[in-house]
Amino acid sequence: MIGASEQSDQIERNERTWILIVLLCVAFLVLAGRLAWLQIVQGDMLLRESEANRLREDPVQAPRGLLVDREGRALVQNRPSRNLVIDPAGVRRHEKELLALLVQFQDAEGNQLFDSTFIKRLFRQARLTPSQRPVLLEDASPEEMALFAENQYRLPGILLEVAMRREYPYGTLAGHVLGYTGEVPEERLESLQTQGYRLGDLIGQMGLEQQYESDLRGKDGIRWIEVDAKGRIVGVPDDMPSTEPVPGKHVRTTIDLDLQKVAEEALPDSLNGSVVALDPRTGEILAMASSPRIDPNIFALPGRRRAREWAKLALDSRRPLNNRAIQGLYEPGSTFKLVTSLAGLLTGQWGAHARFPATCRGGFRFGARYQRCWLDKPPYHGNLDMYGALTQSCDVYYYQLGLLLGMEPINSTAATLGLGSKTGVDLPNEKPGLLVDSAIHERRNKRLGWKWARGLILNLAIGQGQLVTPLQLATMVGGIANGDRVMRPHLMKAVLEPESNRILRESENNVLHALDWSPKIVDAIHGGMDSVVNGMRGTGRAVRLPGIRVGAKTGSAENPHGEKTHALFVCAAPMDSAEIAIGVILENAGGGGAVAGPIAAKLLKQYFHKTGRLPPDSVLAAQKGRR
Amino acid sequence: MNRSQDDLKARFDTLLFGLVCVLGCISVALLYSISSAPQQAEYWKKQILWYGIGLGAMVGVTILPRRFWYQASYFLYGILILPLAFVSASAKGAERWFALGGFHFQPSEFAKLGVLLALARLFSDRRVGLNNLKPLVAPFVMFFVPFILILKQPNLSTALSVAMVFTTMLFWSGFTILDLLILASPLISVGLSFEFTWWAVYNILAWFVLFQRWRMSRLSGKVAVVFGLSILMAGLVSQIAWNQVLKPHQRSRILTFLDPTRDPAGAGYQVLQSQVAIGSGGLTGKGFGQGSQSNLQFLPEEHTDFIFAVLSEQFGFVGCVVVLGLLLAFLIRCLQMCFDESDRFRNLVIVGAVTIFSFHTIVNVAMTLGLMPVTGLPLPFLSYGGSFVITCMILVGFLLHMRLGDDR
Repeated sequence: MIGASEQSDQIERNERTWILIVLLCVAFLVLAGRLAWLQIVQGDMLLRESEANRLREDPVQAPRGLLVDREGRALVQNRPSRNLVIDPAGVRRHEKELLALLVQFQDAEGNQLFDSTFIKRLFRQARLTPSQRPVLLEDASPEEMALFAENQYRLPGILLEVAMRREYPYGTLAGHVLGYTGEVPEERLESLQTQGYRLGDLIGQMGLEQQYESDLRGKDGIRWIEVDAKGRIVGVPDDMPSTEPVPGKHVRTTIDLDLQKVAEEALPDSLNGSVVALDPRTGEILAMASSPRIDPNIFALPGRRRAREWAKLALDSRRPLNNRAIQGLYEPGSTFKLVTSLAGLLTGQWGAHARFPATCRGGFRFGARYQRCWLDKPPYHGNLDMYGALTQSCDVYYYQLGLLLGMEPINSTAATLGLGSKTGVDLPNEKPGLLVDSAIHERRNKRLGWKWARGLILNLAIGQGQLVTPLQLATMVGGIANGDRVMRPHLMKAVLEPESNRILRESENNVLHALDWSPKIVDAIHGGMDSVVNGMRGTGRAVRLPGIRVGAKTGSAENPHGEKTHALFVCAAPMDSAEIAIGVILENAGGGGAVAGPIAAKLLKQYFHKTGRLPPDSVLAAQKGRR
Repeated sequence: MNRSQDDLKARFDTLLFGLVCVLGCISVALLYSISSAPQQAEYWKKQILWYGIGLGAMVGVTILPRRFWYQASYFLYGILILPLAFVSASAKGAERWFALGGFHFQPSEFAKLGVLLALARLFSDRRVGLNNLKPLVAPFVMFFVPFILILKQPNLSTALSVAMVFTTMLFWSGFTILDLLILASPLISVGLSFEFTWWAVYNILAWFVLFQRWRMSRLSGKVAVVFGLSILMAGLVSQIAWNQVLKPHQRSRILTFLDPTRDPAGAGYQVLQSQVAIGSGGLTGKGFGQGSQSNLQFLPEEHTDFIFAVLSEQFGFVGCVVVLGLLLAFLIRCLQMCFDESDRFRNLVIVGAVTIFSFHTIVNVAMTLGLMPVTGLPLPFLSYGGSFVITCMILVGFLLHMRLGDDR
C-alpha cells in the first residue's frame, strides 16, 4: 500500500523531474541555436578565417638581372645569402620568451647581437603587418648560422630565408656608373606598393641600378605554404595556385671592362676627378670613372655595418657619392678654345690662317685693363694663326677672336656641341652645366649688381666662366672629331632576356645634334687638334701614338679654391674617322697637358692595343730604344 | 524471490548503455582523427584503455547488492574526500593531480561520487525548505567541506559542479525555484552591484518578495531579515572589494575570465580559435581527419576541453546536432527512471548524476561556442582523460544499478 502522502510526494517529484527535463531541453536548444549561428550563418566567414590561419603567402624572390660589359662580362652578380626573419604568426605568442633569449646572443667578440629595442620594434612591425617578415639578421655569417641552428628548437617563428644579394665583383670599378641597390625607403614604400614593392625589397638607388630598375627587377613568385599554430611550415598545399618568379632582365652596358680597368688605374685615388671615354660614332660610353670612388658592395652589407660605411661616405668632404663624370661642374678652360675657333670658322668671319693685329707678348690690353696670356715670359707666343694658337693655346689670340665674334656665335656653337644642357645620358641626376652670355651673366649676378661688360668676353673666349661636365667634354670632342654629328652618350647597349641572353631591346644611337660643317672647316679644326699633339710646341704631346693620328686640346682652368689649376684634357683618335673620344678632368692637379694628358694616353693605348693597331708597350719601348 | 533471465534482461537498460557505447566510440574516433600530430598520437589508444577500465568499474558498481551503496555512502564519502584534503595540504598551487604508484588521477573527480552518494542518503530522509533550516545543516556541511577543498586546489569548475549537485538535490527534496532564487539572491546582488540602478531596483524587489514570503508564513522572520541584510551587504562588500581591495591586475584577470576576448593573444585565443574551428565546419564539416584547425594545433587542449570543436570542424552542424541529440537522449533517459522509482535515495542519486553530466555538457559546449568563460570542464564521454572517463562510467554504473537493483 502506498500512503497518500507518499503518493502526493511522488506526484510532486514527477513534476520536478519534468521541470528538469524542460530546463535541459531549453539549454540544449540554446546551444544548438548558437551552433547554427556559428556554423551556418557565419560558417563561410569562419572558414576563410581558418584558411587564413593555415595558409601563408610565401614570396619567392625573383633574381635581379645582371649588368654586363659590352662583351658580356658580369659587372654585377647575385650571390645567395642567409637571412634570419621573423614570421609574425609564429612569434605572436612567444614574444616574451624570444626576447629574453635573443638578447643573450653574442657574436664572436662577445658583443650583444640584438638589443631589446630593436627586437621589440621588429615584433611591433610584425604585429602591424603580419603579411611581411621583418629581417632580424641579414646575411648571417657561418658563426651566426651555427648559433641559430643550435637554438632553433627554442626559437619558434624565427625562420631562415635564403635571399639573393647584389655583389660587385670588381669592387669600386665603375661604382658610380653601376650604382647600388638598397631597401625601399619607408617614405617611398607607399607610392611604390602599387608596383608590387614590399617592405625590405631592394630597389636601385643610383647609377644604372636605378636607371634600369624596371628591367633589372624581376617579378617575385608566390608560393602558398601550410603552417601550424606555431608558424612552422607543415607542407605545401597542392590545391592552391602558385606563381613562378620571373627573373629580371640583364642589361648589357657599353662599358669595356678592359678600358674601364685602365681608366680606374690611371685615375689616382689621391685626386678628385673623372675620366670619360666614348665612341663618338655611336655615343656608347666605353669607360667612365670618377674619383674618389665608391664600392657599391658596402650597400649590400648587413644593417649596422652598412649604416657605418654609408655615414663615412656621406660625411666625406671629398663627396665621393658624386659621380663627377656627370655631376662635377668645371670651367672648361682652354679646351673651350676649340669652340671659339669653330665659332670663328663657322661664322665665316675668321679664317684658319688669318692673324690678328696684336701680337702675343705675354698679354693683351683691352681698354683700361691688361689681360695676361698664360705664357707671360719669353719666348712669347708671338703672332699666330689658328693652328699655332690652338697648338700653344695662346690666350691673346682668343681674346681677340672672342671680341671679334661676340658671345652669340660662340655659345650657339657650344650648344650644338652639347655644352650647357644635359646630354641625356641614361644615368640619373645629370647636371646641365652652364654657358654664359650677357643676359645670363646679369641674371646670375643680380644680387651682386654686376653688369655685363665686353671685357668679360675675354675670359669666356678662353673658357673661364662656363661650367661643363667631363661627359660633356668627351661628347663635345667626339662631335668635333666626327665633323658631322654629335651623338647622345649612353651606357645601355641592349636589354637581354635572362638565361637565353636574347636581345629584347637595343639602344638607339641618337644624334644629339647634326653638324653641317664644310669639309674645309672640319679639316681646319682637325688640323689644329692634330698639331696640339704632334706639333713642335704642342701642349698635348703626351698622347702622341705611332701610326695613329690623335687630336687633342689641353686645358688648365684657373681654380678659385686652390693654388693649382684644374687639369683638363680632351682628345679623339684616329682623327680621320674617330673611334674614341676622351675627356679628363683632375681637380687641383696642375697643367692639363702634363697631368691629364698621360691619363688619356693610357686609355688610348689600351684601346688601340686591343684593336690590334698598336703593338704592346714592350715592343714600343724597344722601337724607341733602337731609334 | 525468483528471477528469470528475461526479467534481468528487461531491467537492464539496454538503451542507456547503448547510448554510452555510441558516445564512447565517437570519442575514440575523434581522438583518432587528431592523432596525426605526434604528441596526440597515443590518445585514442589510451582512451580505449580508460573505457575498458571504466566498463569494468561500471559492471562492478552495477552488480553490487541492493542496499550496498546506501550503506557504504558515508564511508565512501570519507575515503574519497580524504585524498582531496591531502592534495590541498601538500601542494602549493594548481596541483589537481594525485600520484599513486605511477598512476596519476584527479581526486576531485572521484570526490564528486562520494559527495553525490552521501548527499543522496542525507536528503533521502528529509524534506527541506527555507522555512525550516535545521534539517539543512548536515547536508550543507557535507557539501561545503569538499566544495572548499576543491575550490582551493584551485578547480573552480569542479567545485561549481558539486554545488550544482547540491542545488539540484535541494530542489528535488522540497526547495521551490523561488526558494533557490532566494538562496542565490546575495550572489545575484553581487553581480548587479556594478550597475547601481539595477541593483537598487533588485534590492527593492527582493525585499518585497521576502516580505511577502514572511507574511504568507513561508519564511521565518529571522531568515527573511538575514537574507535581506545579506543582499544589501553583498552588494556593498563586493563594490568595496572591487574598488579598494583588488589590485588592478587582479581586476583585469577577473574581467578577462568573464570576457576572454579582452585578451585575444592569451585567454581569448582559445575561444577565438575554437569558434573559428566550429564555424569553419559549416553545415556538413570538412570531413573525417580533415580539420585544419585541429590538425595544425590551432585549437589548444583539443583532446580534452575542446573536443567538441574538433567534432564540429570535421562533421559540421549535422554532426554536432546528432551528438548533442545523443547526449540529450541519454540525460532524458536517466531522468525518465525517476518516474517509476519510488525510492528517494535512488532518485536522488539519479538526479545528482544527471546534474553532473548536464552541467559538464552544457558548460563545456557553451564554453567552446564562446558563450561562457573558459573553465576547463571536460565533455562527458567525449573528452580524453582517465579519471574523468572512469568517473563517468561509474556514474553510468550507478544509473544502471539503480534500475537493476529494484527487487533485490
